[in-house]
Amino acid sequence: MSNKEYSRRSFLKQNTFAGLGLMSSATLAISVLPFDTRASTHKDLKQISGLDLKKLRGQYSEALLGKFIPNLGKYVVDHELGGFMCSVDILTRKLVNTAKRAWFEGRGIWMYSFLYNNIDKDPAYLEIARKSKDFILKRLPADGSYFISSFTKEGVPIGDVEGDIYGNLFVAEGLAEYAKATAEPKYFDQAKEIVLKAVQRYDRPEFTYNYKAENRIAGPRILGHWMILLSVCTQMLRQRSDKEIRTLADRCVDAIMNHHLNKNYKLLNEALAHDMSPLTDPVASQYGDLGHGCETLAFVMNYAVLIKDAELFHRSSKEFKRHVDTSWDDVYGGFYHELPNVDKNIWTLNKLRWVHEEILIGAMILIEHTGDEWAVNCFAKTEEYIRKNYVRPEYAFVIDSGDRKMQNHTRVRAEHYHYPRQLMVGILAIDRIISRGEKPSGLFS
Amino acid sequence: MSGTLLAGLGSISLNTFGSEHHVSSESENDHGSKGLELNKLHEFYHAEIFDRFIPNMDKYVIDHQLGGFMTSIDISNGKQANSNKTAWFEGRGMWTYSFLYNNLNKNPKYLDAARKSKDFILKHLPEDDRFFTSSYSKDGKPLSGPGDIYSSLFVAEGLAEFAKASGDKQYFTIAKKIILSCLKRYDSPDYDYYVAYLNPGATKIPGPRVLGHWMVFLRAATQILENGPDAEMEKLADRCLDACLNHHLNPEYQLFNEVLNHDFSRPDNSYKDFAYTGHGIEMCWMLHFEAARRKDKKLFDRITGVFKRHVTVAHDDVYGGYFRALDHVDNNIWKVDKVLWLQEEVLIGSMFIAEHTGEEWAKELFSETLEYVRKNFVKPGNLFWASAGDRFLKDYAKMRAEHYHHPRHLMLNLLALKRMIKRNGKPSGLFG
Repeated sequence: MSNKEYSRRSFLKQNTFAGLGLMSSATLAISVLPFDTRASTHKDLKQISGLDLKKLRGQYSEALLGKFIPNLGKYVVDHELGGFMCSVDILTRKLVNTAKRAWFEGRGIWMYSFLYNNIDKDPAYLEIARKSKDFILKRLPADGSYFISSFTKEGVPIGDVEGDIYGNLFVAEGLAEYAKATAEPKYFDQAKEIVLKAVQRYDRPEFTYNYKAENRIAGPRILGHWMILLSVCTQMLRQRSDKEIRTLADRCVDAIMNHHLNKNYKLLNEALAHDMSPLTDPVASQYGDLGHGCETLAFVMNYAVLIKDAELFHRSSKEFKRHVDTSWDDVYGGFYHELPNVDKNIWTLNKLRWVHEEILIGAMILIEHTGDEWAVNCFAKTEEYIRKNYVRPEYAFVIDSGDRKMQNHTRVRAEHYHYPRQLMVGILAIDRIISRGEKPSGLFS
Repeated sequence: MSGTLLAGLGSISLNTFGSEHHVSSESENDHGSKGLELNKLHEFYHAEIFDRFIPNMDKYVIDHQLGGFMTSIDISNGKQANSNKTAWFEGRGMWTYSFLYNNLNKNPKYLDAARKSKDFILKHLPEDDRFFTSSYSKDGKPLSGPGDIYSSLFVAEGLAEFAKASGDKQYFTIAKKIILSCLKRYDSPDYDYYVAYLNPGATKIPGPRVLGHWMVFLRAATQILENGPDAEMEKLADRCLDACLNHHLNPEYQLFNEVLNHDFSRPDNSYKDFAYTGHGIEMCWMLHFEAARRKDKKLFDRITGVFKRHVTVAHDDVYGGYFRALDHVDNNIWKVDKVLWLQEEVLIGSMFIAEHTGEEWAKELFSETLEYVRKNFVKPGNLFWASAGDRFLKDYAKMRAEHYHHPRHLMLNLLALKRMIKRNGKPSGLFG
């Protein structure tokens, strides 16, 4: 395998659509990119001049505070019993069911706490986070096992099967952010305890997870697990220094960059053996987990920013670009999320919105810190694709996913994590960039 | 070969030939070819033609006694697998040697190779409108029934080029007669051709319109018209342009569909979403050549957009190179093998755009592709470049000396380089 990055062909892809009339809605690209950023030949722009950041910030703020938050409060938040009921028909605005999930409670706690901490100190937001926290912590298993997946509106477990690691990790992520919002360290400590116990369980040889394989083995190492662990750790380390969390974060980075990254085709695999060796399973060994791959590598870049590790930043950004470029649907636009067989070039064709949002976040990290030209173009085309394909004014919430051409799409879900996270993280990044006179941070120059 | 072909483009330039030297006179001026080391490229192309391809053809492929080309050889040692000859390969070989003689070196040996091939195949010229028999024994005994339209069209292309080389216009007359005869058959609603390169189960379409046919028709027409006006060939070229750009080019996804119904409507079977990207890319540079002949900038620019679209979509982002067949566009089903000819069509197209526009992206595309080809198709110790292989070029075809796409690429790009060097790297100015 060559060291050459065959996916990195921005020289060609940047203006592939020009003149072909494929992208009928060029409005956003024009508004975000007032002039042709391709004119620049520098990888690290001295000034981030290709983006109309103030306009973009206004759009994000309106999408977040003018539409998303009011609708979430109206249709999703259980103001009485606490928690989030996300099964909403986004067109009719009717609840399809009132179930609550550990995943979504953790995500919702995080979202409202982050909103409160960073965007708007409205006590109502903190109250929603508090009620969700109270709802879910009553159901935290005392023995270190993972949350039951789902609960009724009143909190009665639906079934008795243990959920996956993510339920606990999302709750931990929410608690850590909530601790900052309320200035109550006990919730940070509880978050840390949940994380470390979740890892203990993950480290057991008998740990199981339903990864993509012909024959699964016990004790797999899973890309998505490292990904969320790293995300939680990075956020916790931003609050305070912690040796155990730092060690865990470094372990995640090692697993991602030195083990999951397939040596033959340089894409991230979902699963490895317990000892971190590659799997020989014909399905697992060929499974390119590109949606998680893009998200994971953005998290690694984010962690590199935190610890000011230039080598890690550049290495992870290179792999991020490869994953993003490889995932792009050259025919219809948008990003695929999985490559079930790399060598046979067999893709899953549906389009998930969250992948696009994680790519926006990763691109913005590059823009903020290096003014990367590729990232500016990537950001613009992804932003345009999302607004064109997932955002409909008549819907209460953005579309979650759809087929390859987004002709048929899902309707029942108010997605309250990836979408607001991208908007909030985007607003904060824009504010920092503007405060620096729209220059790259210079952190790695 | 040493040095680099690129300057100022970072890793690509450093890795192309493994040297870090990348300063040249071309790179120091601002004449539109910044990024390509023209003299080094010229050296490379010249050596590939005259130090590798031609001597090995002479030694292992050409039948100097009976005339013709026996291309079934083991490219690792030159050992002949069989001595059969085909109309396709006679026409192609005749064209290669005539073009070489006309444009690069007036060595009588080259003209003689073309002449003997011409003599060999014209003995089998059908008296009616049938196509040439497909294959022959070494001494010219037919081994099969009539071949396909390409058998005749390649012979015609070879004859037209040979007419120019020999100055004997009768061969031009025969070439044109063959082309028009082929066109007449192609236009018949009961024209019979099966596009077998989709999959074995694909339903046959009566009187199909085939991108590959327009491609070879257009190339023949353009080359003839480059030598002087001809109303029938002009009309044929017009038809090819219209068929490709107004019918085969799918309006929804902007890729060429390989097969249409006779009335140019889209088939309602598995051919509907078949985009043979190999032909699509090859078609593009032939359209470019025709646009340049017409000095039609608008047409040239439009085709450039189509070319970019095809090379973007057909690119293998994981392992590099280009895929030749998108069997089903909407289902994203690709054949993942790699063929040399397609990579070489990309090299011709990108070089031609670079020559006439000086566009940086075209130079980068050219350089990336040449690096890929050199690394994957040029196997150390082999007499010829590998003509095809699996996606990774780990397993590759060893039993064919490819004597058309490959030398065509080498010769066309060598000629382009000569023109670019002569202009000191400036774009051609063809379009003002």
